[in-house]
Amino acid sequence: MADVKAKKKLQEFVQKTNQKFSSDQIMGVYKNSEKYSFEKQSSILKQLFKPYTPDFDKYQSQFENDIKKSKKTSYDAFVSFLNNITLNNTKPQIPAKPSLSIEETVRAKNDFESPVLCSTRVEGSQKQQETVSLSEIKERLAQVTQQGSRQGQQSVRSSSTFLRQSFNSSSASMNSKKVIPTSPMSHSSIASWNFSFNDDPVLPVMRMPKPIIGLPSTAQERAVISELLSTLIGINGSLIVPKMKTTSIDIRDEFSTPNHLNDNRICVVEFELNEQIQESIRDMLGDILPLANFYFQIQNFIEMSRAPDSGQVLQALSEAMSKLITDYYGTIAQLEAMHIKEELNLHKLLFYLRPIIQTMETLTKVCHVLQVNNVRGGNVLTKLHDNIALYSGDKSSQEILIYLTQKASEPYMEILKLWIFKGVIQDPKMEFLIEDTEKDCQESEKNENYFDNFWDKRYMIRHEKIPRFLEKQANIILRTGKYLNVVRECGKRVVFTHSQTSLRFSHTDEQNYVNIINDAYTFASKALLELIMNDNDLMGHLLSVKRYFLLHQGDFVVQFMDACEGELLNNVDDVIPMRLENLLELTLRLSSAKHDKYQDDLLTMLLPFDICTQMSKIIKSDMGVDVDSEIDDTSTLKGIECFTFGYTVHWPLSIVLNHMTISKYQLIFRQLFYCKHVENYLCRVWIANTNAKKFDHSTSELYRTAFTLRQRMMNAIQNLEYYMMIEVIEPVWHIFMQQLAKAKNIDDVLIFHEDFLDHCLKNCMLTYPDLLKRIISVCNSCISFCQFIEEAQRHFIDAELSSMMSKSYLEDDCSDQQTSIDEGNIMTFSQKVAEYDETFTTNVVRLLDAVTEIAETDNSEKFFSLCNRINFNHYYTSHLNLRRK
Amino acid sequence: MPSEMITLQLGQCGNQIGFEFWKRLCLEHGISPSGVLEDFATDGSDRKDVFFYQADDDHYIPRAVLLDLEPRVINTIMTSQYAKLYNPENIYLSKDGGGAGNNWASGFGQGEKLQEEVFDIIDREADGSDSLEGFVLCHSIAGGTGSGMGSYIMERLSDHFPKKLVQTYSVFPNQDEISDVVVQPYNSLLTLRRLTSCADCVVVLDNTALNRIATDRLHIENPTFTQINSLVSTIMSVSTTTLRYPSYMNNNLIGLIAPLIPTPKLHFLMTGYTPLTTDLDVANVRKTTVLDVMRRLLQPKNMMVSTGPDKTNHHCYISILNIVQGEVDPTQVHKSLQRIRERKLAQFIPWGPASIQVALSRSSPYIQSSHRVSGLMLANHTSICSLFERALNQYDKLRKRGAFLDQFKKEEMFKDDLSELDDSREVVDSLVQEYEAATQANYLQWQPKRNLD
Repeated sequence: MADVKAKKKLQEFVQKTNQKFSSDQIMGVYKNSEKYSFEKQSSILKQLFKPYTPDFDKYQSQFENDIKKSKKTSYDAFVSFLNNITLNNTKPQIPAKPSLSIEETVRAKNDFESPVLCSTRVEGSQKQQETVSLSEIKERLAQVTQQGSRQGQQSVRSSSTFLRQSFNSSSASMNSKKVIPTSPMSHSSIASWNFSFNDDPVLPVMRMPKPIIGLPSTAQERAVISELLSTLIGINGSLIVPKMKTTSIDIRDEFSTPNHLNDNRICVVEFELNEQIQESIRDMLGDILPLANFYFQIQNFIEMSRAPDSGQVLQALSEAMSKLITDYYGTIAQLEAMHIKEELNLHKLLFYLRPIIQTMETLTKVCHVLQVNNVRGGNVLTKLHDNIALYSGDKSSQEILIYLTQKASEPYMEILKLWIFKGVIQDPKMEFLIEDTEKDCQESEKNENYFDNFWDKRYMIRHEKIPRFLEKQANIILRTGKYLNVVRECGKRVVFTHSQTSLRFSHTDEQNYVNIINDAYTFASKALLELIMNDNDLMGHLLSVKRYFLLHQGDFVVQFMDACEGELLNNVDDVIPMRLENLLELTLRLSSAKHDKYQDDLLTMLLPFDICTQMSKIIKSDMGVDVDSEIDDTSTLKGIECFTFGYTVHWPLSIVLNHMTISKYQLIFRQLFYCKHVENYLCRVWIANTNAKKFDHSTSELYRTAFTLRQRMMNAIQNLEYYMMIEVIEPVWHIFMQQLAKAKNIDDVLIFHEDFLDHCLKNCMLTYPDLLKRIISVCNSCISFCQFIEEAQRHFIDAELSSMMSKSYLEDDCSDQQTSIDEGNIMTFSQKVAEYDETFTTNVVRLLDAVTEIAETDNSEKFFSLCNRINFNHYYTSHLNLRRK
Repeated sequence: MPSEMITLQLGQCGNQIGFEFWKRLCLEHGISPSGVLEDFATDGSDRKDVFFYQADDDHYIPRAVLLDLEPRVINTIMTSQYAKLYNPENIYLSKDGGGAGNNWASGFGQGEKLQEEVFDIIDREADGSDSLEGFVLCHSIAGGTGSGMGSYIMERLSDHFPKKLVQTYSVFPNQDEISDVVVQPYNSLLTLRRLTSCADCVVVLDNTALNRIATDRLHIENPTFTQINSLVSTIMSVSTTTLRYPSYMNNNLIGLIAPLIPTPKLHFLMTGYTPLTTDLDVANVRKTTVLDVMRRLLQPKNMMVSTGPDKTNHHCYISILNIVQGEVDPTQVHKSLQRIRERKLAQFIPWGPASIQVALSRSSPYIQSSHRVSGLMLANHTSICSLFERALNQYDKLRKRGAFLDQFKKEEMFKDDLSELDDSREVVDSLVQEYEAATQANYLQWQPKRNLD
């Protein structure tokens, strides 16, 4: 509770005293106290509260005691410090207009910033007090830190870099995302040729105001002009005294969101005119001096942008601005020359300067926009580009903006050029619109997942870094480099024939760079497509995958199945993978697959779950359920239910045949393979049954129900297979091939491939768990019937023997015996068959029913044709009608 | 480990159609008449090893056994340019060369005598294949050697190789011309019995229909054997095309015939082919789509079996497999099936599910076809029994008169009695009955009526 009160007090205090930093910021300092030394904390306390608190020292010593002796944390100490003020009911004295002595003001100011020459400071010190920004506190803090470690050096080494470094470190330690506008004027170097607010011991004489009182107005004007001209190029004068001020500006910029990250405060300079200057001259100066302010701000901006970490774009921009400023110097020099020749008066000066004022104002506004939005890299270009449009009524300003945009975009365009011509990102300052997310990935870490993610994740667009004028091309740019990069990674040289072409921003001729980008894109997509299609023979691999996974090479699959069926009928845990691998190799060698050059890429795999479970896992994981942790029970699974092929894919084909697509192929394969297994089994039973053709007609009648049931099963299974192969896979493949022939780039290929597979999955009913289950139960009822028939085969042999005997002379003796032998089995046999018939019919009808239902509700007309196939002669119609009732 | 097939050619007719078949296969696979792979035959995606094997010098040898009791046809083959194609060890000519005299019993008897030598050849050939799937027998049912010796070999094959399939291409005699073989009805009936009980699948090549097609559809006035045989070889090669150019389905013989044959005895298949043109008749090319092909295949005039008019219109398809070749848009298959189903263009059995299967097959890249799409139908249709009925009627006519039986009585089998003939009649009769029963919904409960007169 104490800290809530304290916070409230602090807030009030901050409000009333118009502190430039918020209560949160102050609290932050004490909360993160470990980053600030004790002395620092104490001194901040002093700066903040001393002027307003009568017996500040008492509280301060208590605060120090709290920390040192009572071992309180700084935050607690600070809270109690605040509360003490409250408890004692000594409200801080908040003078409406504090009339502090100059000495005090100086001291107060000195506490916050580097010493300033203040001999002329007469008024406005309060203002100064108010405008102290937090950044200055930090700089001050940084200096204190530096003082501790580098005693004595600090005063000498006041170079801007040094200070900026220390600023940066303290800014980082603030743990705050808030970016505070830097105000380099407090330590600006002379090199930057800008107003100095430092106590400059080199030129103290110049600061002494010349006595101009009593001079005739023309003489006074001359004196003022002399000083004015210096002021305009950032030289501190004595009649016109620059004073820095932080002010909020309102940038009307539709593109910048008013979020807290944008600190709309910037530093401006104001001028105090010597009281002795005449009123009329003052008025004139009022018109001209804004130029000095603009100059100051532009110089500031240039200075800031030159910082090494500001990025190439800003640096290029500041370079361009410097060039403009050089022109400005030229103008001022000319004016000075006129002045020396005594040809200049203030009116003339104003006349000459008017166009320049406008230009400089434009530049300043640009600076504001960039500064306030705190932009870097591509964003700078966006802002510049947007402003070109904003100034469409003002031709000269627009020209300047175009010039700036062009110049600023040069390094960016270099990066772009390298990317779209070579596929390389050379972007140390993270300014480019493409980001390499795995720049640091080592060769050894390039595992399977790496390649899976490569295509989607490796390069990303940084949407906030896209220059406005490249927005439409961003996607193309991403692809161009990505394509080239793959080509390069494959060890092919990327030689773009037009690499000499200069790629530069042009406002009027947008088509120019757009064309170049498009050309590069065409080249890159062609290069990669060629690499994938021709050098790596994607087509050949796709055909190979189709051959094995989609059972297009039917003879191979049947041969392989014949070879390994014995093994696969065991429980999956008893299947020896090595043996499967050997059988696969053998079959590949001996079958017609031996002509396939990619046969070695084929592998065997045993998954620990059947196809239904796999599909439900995929569906579950899509819904966000963690499926990896589920333990798979394999004790009831046969090898055949778990078997699938695998396929080794090498870079760069793994872009197309990635992990995901291969597992889709595997799903289709498992479904087809299981159906094929059932068909194969039914065929084997068929062969075993052929000896019944020798049976006497009266005997074979017994088996007719069994045979026709077998045939119905065959019909259902084969129609299922035909449907999937001829009506789903083959037509979709056909379309896929046509699309591939038209594919212009690898992304097209990826999309077409994805479409193809999804279409197959859907229409092979794999995406409907309910249908999948029913298909499997139809298959399983076939398998159990086949097992039963195989079992019953020995009775067939009895029947065969008896039928053979019946035709011979033994006929009469044996016929009675035969009936008696078979009597016991006849009942059970036909009953059993009836039972299997029942199960199978129910399963098929259920499947048909479900398929029809989904076909009707889910707009999958393809499914109707499956029903029509299985129920071609309306055999099941009555069953279906019965079920629907 | 492919599913190899051994072809057995028996008798004059069998060797002739066999000869045409091998000629055709050589052309399709780019194998020269001497068995060497042609230079242009670089496409390795076909399966030559089903019907051929490679000798040590890599040239291709047909898995064929040529058997005859008289030398005429085999001599013609051995003087043709294809002489070097065959393995000379596989050519068996009876030493006396007297033939079977168009007598089934003589052929059967000689078959029995020569069985050791013949099965030596067959066993050797069978041992030479990795995973033999079955035998293809080419013969006619009317003559002596093909029917008689063929019958004997069929019986022995199913004992000797119980797990192997036996498929036959059986030529039925032309009913439109008076045969010079007077005992043809006896021969046919006796062979039909073996075809019923020993073969797993019989592709009926009806000379009556073939001749009619040649005259009516191809406008050849007096079709020669060669012209008829080229029709036959087309049927034989297309019906094996899914084995030789494998794709999704029907890549072995069992996968091809099992779905067509629901119960073991109903295994007589008829064929249809479209478009029918000869080399002279290329101008007669029409627009062919999958639906056109499938619709035409259902028309009786394109069937290679002369079943006669079905007056009661009760016969129906037990099963259909269409093998479609050429530039087929796979999306058309579904539409065609739909159309046929909606318009009820085909009548199916009432006692079980039946449908048209369509196998899209690749065709040889070395033979240019003038047709965009062509199709062969393999169908199990109950009206095939009219052929057997016809055979029964002709048999009954002769048998009642007891005509020409003395030739048979000379042979061992008929020395004591003619019960073999009566038994055969019963088997064929119950086959006809079974086919008739298969048109009815209560087929499953059907029992044959015994004809005991």
